[in-house]
Amino acid sequence: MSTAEGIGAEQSQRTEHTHAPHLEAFDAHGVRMTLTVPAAPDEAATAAEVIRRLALETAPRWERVPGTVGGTALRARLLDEAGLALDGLGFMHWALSADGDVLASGSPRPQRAPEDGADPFFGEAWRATIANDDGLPLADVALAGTPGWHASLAVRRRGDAERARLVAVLADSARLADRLAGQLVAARPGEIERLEAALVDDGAAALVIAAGQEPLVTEGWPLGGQAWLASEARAGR
Amino acid sequence: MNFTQRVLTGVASVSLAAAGVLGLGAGWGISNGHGPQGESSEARIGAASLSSGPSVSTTAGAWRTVSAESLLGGGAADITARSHHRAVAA
Repeated sequence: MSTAEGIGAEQSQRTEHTHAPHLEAFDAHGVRMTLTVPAAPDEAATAAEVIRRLALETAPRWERVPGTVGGTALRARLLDEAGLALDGLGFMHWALSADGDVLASGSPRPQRAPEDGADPFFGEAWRATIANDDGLPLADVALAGTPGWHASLAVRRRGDAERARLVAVLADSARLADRLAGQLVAARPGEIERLEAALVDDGAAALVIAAGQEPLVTEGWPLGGQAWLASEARAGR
Repeated sequence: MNFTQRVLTGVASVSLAAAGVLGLGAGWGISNGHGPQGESSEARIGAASLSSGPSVSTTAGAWRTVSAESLLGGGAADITARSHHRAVAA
């Protein structure tokens, strides 16, 4: 084998683990779930089946009150448990959503195989957009990027017209993002400032958009679509 | 429709889009595992694009106000987050 052929073979080995992202979607007790994973279609289908069973067969047993599968807290737990299941199956790159809440790990476009080096970063981050009902974007953030470090985005809204408030929280678990977003959206105006300490303590970042006011962000909220890394948020605590 | 009006129209759709189909967009922060990188001066309002640096001012506490344009990064999304509406008595 020539040197050129050798290099070509090596490059082929380095890219053979990467696939175009594959989207699987299904409904579970009224919750719309999606899984995007850059894997071969049969692998993606297997992963989706695991998540589907978790959502349909296991999650209902978590209900404190029968028929509450659609509650945000249960959806958040479903995301976290599904993420751990994917990790356990060996999937390093995936993005899950459950009725709009998002949890992601790794990259939609992995650039090399895990054994290629010590650097744990395998590709660019997932690009997430918070959009309004008309599909117009309000904010862009990049999530995860490092396999094994989950990044979650939860968005909540309350009120209409001049009382409308939209909040978004980035955290390293869906349950944490759900809890903090719920607190923020329910807070009275004077309480929002106080909640910043709780956000920092939990390694989270938040965005608040209230009618008639400029957007408010905590220190860690990434501007301009930059990346939010759960691992660094935790490390900085 | 201004930014506030867009917020008032409500909330989000969520779709997980196949990134390979959507392609790369300018302005998204690209991580190398050692921290957020990249700068974005491109913001979108609807179909329009405009140049805008992050406009930031400090408020009391650690919250800070930013311009609506500074929240946007441009380019196609892999994930779109939808808000859950919380019914609150007035």
